[in-house]
Amino acid sequence: MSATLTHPITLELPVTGMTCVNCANTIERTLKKTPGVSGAAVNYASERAQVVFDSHQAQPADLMNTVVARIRKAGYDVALAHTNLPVLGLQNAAGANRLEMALKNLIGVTGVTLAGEGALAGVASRISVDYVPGAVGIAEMVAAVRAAGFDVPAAAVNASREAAGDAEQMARTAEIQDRKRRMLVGLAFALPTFVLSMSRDFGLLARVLGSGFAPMTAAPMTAAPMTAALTTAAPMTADMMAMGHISPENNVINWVLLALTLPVMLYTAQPYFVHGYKAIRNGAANMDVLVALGSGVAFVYSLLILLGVFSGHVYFETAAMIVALISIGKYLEVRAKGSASEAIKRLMGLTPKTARVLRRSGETWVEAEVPVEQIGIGDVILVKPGERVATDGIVVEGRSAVDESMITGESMPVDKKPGDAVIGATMNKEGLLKFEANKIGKDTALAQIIRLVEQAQGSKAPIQALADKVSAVFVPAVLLIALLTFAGWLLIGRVPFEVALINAISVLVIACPCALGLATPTAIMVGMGKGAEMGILFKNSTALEKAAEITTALLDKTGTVTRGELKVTDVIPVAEASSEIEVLRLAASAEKGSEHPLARAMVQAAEARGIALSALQRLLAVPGKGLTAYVDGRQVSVGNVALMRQQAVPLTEAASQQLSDLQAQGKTAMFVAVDNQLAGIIAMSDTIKDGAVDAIRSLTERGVRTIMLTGDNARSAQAIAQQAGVSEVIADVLPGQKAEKVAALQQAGQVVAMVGDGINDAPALAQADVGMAIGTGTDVAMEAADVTLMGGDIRNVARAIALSKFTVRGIKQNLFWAFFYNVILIPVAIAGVFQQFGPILAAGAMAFSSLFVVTNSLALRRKKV
Amino acid sequence: METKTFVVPNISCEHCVRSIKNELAEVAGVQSVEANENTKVVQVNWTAPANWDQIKATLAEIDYPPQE
Repeated sequence: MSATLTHPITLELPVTGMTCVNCANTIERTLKKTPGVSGAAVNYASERAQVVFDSHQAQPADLMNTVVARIRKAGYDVALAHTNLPVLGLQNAAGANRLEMALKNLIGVTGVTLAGEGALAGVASRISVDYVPGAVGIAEMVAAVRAAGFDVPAAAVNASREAAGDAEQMARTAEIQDRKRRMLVGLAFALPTFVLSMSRDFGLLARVLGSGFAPMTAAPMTAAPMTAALTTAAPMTADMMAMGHISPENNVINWVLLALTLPVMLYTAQPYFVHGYKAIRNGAANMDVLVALGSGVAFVYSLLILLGVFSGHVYFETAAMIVALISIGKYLEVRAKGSASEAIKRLMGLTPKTARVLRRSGETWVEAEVPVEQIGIGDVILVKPGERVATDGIVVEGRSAVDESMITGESMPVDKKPGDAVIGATMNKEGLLKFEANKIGKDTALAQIIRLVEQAQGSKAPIQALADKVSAVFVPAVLLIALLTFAGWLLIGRVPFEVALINAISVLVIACPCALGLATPTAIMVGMGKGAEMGILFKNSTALEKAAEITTALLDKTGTVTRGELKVTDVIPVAEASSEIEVLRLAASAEKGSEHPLARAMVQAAEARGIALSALQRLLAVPGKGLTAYVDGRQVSVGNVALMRQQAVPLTEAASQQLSDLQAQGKTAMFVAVDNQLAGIIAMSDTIKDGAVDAIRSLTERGVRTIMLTGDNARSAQAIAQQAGVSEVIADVLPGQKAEKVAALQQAGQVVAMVGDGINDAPALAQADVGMAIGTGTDVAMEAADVTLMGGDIRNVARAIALSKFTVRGIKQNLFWAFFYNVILIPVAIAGVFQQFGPILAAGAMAFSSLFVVTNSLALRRKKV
Repeated sequence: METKTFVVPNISCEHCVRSIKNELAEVAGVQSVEANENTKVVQVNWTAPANWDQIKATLAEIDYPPQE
């Protein structure tokens, strides 16, 4: 597919939003004015726009986008289709670019998003494609992906979008199985090859089977004296070496070695050759190229010796062992990918497979076991104790306690009664519940969390980019070093061709940066998995890395530091005759009819103290002042100073002082008067969350500056800040200013975390280096933030920072180990110290460094943060 | 500044109003365009270099000729 159009193409776009024939004319005119469009015809009745593209400059996707944008600007829309394709084999940013370009060159594709160069993190390598239905099909996209050197699992192509997850899972399992088979076959053949070849080289064969099996060649090797010393039974003859003469017995052994190596080269090594070839064809050099080159060079060289073209030692075992050992690393790599996405699998596993749906059958309700996929909105579902809730809904009948810890992180079971919301995947503990489903499928809370996690694992981290950058330089550099090593040994060292070659092969093999590629993704996956277990969902890996550097945490007040609801804090009887209980009883009784938050707080406080409320009569709300009502035949007034004045209630100096003292503490205080005589004062305030003090303290201990940010007045804010232990307060902030405050701190060189829950916090959450949304807050906040703290426990802010530091440390350890082996062994390989065993040791070291990195990451999972 | 208020009988929906506003806004010198889809009344404010003939021509071109 070429990047530009070479001949005019006619496409039909489905247009929506047309309300009259004039609309069709408008669109037609708009389209005809678009550069690159030579003709347009819009049909109002069929809602289709026929567009003739005739451009020699623009890329099809850009042109298509311009057309779509024009139509949208004119007030209409194009009904674009959207699909997600899982892609296998995506390994680096260059590949991602290539893939994107390949798809964008398809006519009809308007947008391509890599759902994470997550590819790189290894998890869900998914591309999301927007396209014009009819203009291009899934089959063409798959073909383009394959032509670019990647693959789409066949199952995924056929499966519907809903089943894409399963198909992906199947593809991943199939990949692991395939890698395992290749590894086992590789080892099964490479090990005998290795043993047979080594036995001959060390003279064991000659000792057991006779002199015909003596080591084939030794002279050019530094290993020669040792080998010679071992092989007393069969000293070398000069002409054997000089002539490259191979004894008939050795010739048989060589053919056996070839026979053993062939399956390894043809089966186990096949992916490296295929991918390596594709990479080279696309002008990229990667690890597959290196493996293919290293083993291929050794194999072809040996084959030529066997056919008598060259003389010398065959290196079949080297070729076989390189491939076999690398395949172990590859197998571990794909297996690590599988196990690291366990968080998602576990989340998916939380939903029950079936639900008991109650359906009306004539006069009676019939209970039917139905697969969850078939639940519809409005279905009434029965949940027995010990069963999981199938989907999100509202309780219509029954009372129970439900364990919601899997969603909210709160360990306390939550009481449910009719009217309460239940969340899919939570566990019903006590009683029978009937609820009406109100969210299904991808709209449920659980599905949202799964998407958050997937999105998170797929995103690319800056240190990952660093590792990529290093690798991209590393590969050509190593190829050059190998070439120089070869040339240096041949020209300056004046060693035989095969010694120079084998030293060059050592360099090529040692340089395979596969452990490097594993370093970041494995640590990130472990970090995110641990976070998810603690109720900290990282939406992207950048946040997971950045959180370690946080210097300032901005905390929203209401709903973040506080519970966000008023609670009665003080009841002060003023008159001699009245008691605390009596004041609260009369006030709460009077307020019972009101829906005001203050009224609710009073009624709740009375109920919590077991006070029976009396019936009220003649309620009169006085806006902005309070209310009066008759309770037990007495006139009760609850309100501010203005109300007291209006009712001619005499206020003492002391009472007024008490009221202003309470207000100074940030509380909302009100007078209670009975029959025009002051009875007492009731104060209420928003209370701080249980963990808030701990949370602030642990942040301060970590050297993180905490600032409370609120739109509330300075007095209330200061009072809450004091209780929570926050030293700095920015009060009276307008919603739009929150983001500005964040930006100002960032400009002052701070790495800022914003913690909030409301829609008004969203801009600040997006602006912050790390935005953390309270999971009990609004969806908007969660969308804007990088991190979601499930359950609303702000102690998780400090835990998130700790987790980040821990993960970054893991990445650095991994990078160190990956580099360590490469850097240490490259000079050794250049020096040719390994000689005969060099390539094998190098391949072994490579496998070990991969193993080390993976093991280090998996060990992180068991460590406590 | 010149102002003219006129009826465009061809207006049939709010998209039409939008097209008229968009197209007239592109005419150099046109300051503001107000239009109502129900009454089909359009009001245009303009200064030089725009002139009534040009505005009329533009409206005719986009298939919304004014009724004077």
